[in-house]
Amino acid sequence: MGVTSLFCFVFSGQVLLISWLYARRVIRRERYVLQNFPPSTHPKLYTQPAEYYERRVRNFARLNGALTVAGLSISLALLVTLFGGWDAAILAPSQNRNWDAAIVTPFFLLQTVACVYIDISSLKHHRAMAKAPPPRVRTTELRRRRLVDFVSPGVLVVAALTNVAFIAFVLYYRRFEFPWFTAAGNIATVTAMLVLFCAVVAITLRAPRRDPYQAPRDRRTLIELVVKQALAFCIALPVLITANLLGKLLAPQLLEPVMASLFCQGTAVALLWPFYTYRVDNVDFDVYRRDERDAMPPPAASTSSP
Amino acid sequence: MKIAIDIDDPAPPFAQLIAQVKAAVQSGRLRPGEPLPSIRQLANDLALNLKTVAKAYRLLERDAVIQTRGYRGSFVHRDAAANCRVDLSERAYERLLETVAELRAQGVTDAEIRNAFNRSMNGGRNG
Repeated sequence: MGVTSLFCFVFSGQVLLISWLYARRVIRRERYVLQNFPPSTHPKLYTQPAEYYERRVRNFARLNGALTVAGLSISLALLVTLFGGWDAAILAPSQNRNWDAAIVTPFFLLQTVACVYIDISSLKHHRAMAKAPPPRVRTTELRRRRLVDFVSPGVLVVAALTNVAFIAFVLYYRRFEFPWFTAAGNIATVTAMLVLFCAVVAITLRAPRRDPYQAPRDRRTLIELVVKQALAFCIALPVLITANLLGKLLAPQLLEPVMASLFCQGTAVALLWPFYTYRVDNVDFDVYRRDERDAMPPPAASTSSP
Repeated sequence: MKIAIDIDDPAPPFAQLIAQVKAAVQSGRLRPGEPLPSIRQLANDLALNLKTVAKAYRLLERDAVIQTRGYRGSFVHRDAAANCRVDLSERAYERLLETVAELRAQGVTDAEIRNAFNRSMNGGRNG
């Protein structure tokens, strides 16, 4: 009974954290931009009709709202079957408690899809923005972009040490000879994620700007967010897997769904926290106002290359 | 330090870039040894051709305002502030002015001077 209640509590936390708290922040941010910087005053911010952006936010809100209701309903159903003493239901506590595979992981995948919907649905906008004519006056910072400009070297050392410690732990863990555990599999997973995120950071630091009008300071802020996200994930992933493996070793099997949900929440916090704290009211939106010079054809004598 | 390139400015972008780097060095906003962005980064950020930025860097390096240390990239030269004051194109103009005046004094016509200048620029070939 206690385990079921604990699971419902933790799983509800997972639902609210990702599908309600984070989604609500994103929706507020998007609506703030649409209301305060509309296409009529900031035409360069939009490459598609206003309806495209409104529909995007509406779908995102609906998707996450539906997931919040569904997740909380699952928790409620579990509690009802528990306290109602009904044993026939699929979710009955006395049945197989493999809720991590049946509920937590699939639900987390759905939440992830819902979270990235806002980015996936913006692809058309980003593609059009990348093709937009650059402004007649182009500004940037005359400084080299390096990784240590965005995160302190100390944190990079912590990330490296965490991963070295994780490999050592996984090699130590082999002695317990669990049939489901493979050291190479765990190390390969973490290494693949590290390579992926390092590639993301490298591309972010070097890639051409997707938004030709974006102020240099805002571009720097966004690069910083991506770098922090990658670094947080590089530290969090080995720590979370280590905690999960320790939990499987020390805690009873009954707690596995709880640990799986906490793992998902930890991953979500590491990935979403930098973007949750992102303040859109600090963005310089004046660069997206109409500029009479941009509408004029370029003078015949001027060229962009020597 | 911010840099701005105006495409409608009569000065070509590479000249604007050179002028702004030199101004930054002379005002102390760019200090000796300070790393500069890579050619690709600057070209991407300013939506300019790679060759435009490369030309600006090449001329800045020629004037010893910046120095390139292989794969480590470009840095502000340690004597950049002093070297910024040296204008090689102005020096070339003054030297040519002296030479032209001297040739005219010797009775060489303007057409002959132009032809001689073109020949010297073409490595001795006529045309």
